Amino acid sequence: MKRDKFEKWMTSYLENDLSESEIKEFEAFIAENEDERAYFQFALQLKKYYKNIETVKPTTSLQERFNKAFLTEIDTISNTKQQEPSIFEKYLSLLSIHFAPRKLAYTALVLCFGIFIGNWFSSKDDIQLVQLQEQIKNLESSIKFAQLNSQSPADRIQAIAALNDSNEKNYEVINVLSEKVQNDDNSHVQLAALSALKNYSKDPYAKEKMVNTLLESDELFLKILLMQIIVEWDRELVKKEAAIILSKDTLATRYRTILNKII
Amino acid sequence: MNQVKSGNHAQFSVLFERYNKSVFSYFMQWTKDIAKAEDLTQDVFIKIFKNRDKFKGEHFKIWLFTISRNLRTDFYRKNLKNKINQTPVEEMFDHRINHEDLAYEPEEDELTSFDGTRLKLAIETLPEDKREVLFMQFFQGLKSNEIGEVLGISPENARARSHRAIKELRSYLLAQKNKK
Repeated sequence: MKRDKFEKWMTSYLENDLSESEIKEFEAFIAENEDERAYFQFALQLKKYYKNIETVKPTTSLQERFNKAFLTEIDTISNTKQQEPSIFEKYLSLLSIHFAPRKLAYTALVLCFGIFIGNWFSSKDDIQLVQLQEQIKNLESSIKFAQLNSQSPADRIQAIAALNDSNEKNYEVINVLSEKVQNDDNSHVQLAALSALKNYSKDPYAKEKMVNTLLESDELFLKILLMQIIVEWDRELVKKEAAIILSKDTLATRYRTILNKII
Repeated sequence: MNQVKSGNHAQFSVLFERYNKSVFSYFMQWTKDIAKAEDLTQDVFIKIFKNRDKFKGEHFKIWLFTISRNLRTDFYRKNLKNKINQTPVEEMFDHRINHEDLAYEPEEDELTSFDGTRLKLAIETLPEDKREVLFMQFFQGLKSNEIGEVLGISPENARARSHRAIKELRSYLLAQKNKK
């Protein structure tokens, strides 16, 4: 490695962008050159300093304020969409010309035009209406999803209940419910999500998600609840997992009894 | 972000969850004020959401920090214009402090090892553009090409700026040691 390339190589080294052979070449270079070595060590120290820097964390109100502002934005989009004039409204606006003869002329024109292609417009309006309904449905769904990240566990449970009631059955719902089951820091929210997820227990994707959660979770109560569901379609897996848990001497008797009942 | 752009707005909460602390830390570096940093963080995400259609599929993190940086500039400009903040301009844009004011007395064996407090004080002496590049490189973990995109300079210039910052910092610390 040439000396004039030292800084470029050092940056690449710090950014993990050197190949194995280049790393060796770079390390050999700094081993032989005291000044560059000292400079490099200082940069490493600086990097370590930034990695360990104690940062002030945002307060919980940031999330709440963001959720509110975000929902307001979504509402704005919703209102804007609803306020967009339909094709029919656009034609009506054409008629609002001040001179009566022109109004009549335009009316006649529109009526004639309508006779020939009225059906076509009608179907277009229907399509627009369906699209609008679909958009509103998506926005409602978005609001529910946004509420799932609220700071308040009660709000999150409410959002899960709303998702459950909406009968929306898609991968996104399964994903968010699984995420809540696995990662929410409130056990009530986890239970609510699991209860909702249970409704999908015939869906292969949901089954896979539940099995993954069972295998990855460290929370005993969650594992036991999942086993109660999964045992319906994969008794062998549940037996295997239960055996691992039962092998622990420290396991409380009540859990031992429940697990034995499940398998 | 592409999912948000295509109408899946719920995914935006995921982006907020993932990046809000990082953006908040960025603003804390400059404002040293939790309330202001939180306001700016919220503004960044709402601005991104409003401008979601302008996202062209580039690295989201780069876009995020570019917008953060623009909002920071606007924030200082607005504060200056409205005279809300009475801090002198040179202090607002350049947090350099007088070297003589630092109670820094390096020990004999400190040539290669400086504790966090001294490093922190030394970093504060750097001009804003150099502090910014070090923060992005080492704290945010951005690469030279990404820093270049955020700052609107070439990757080579971003790299050179980083090295100038490291050298200046090291020289300062060594000079402090030699003073003793």
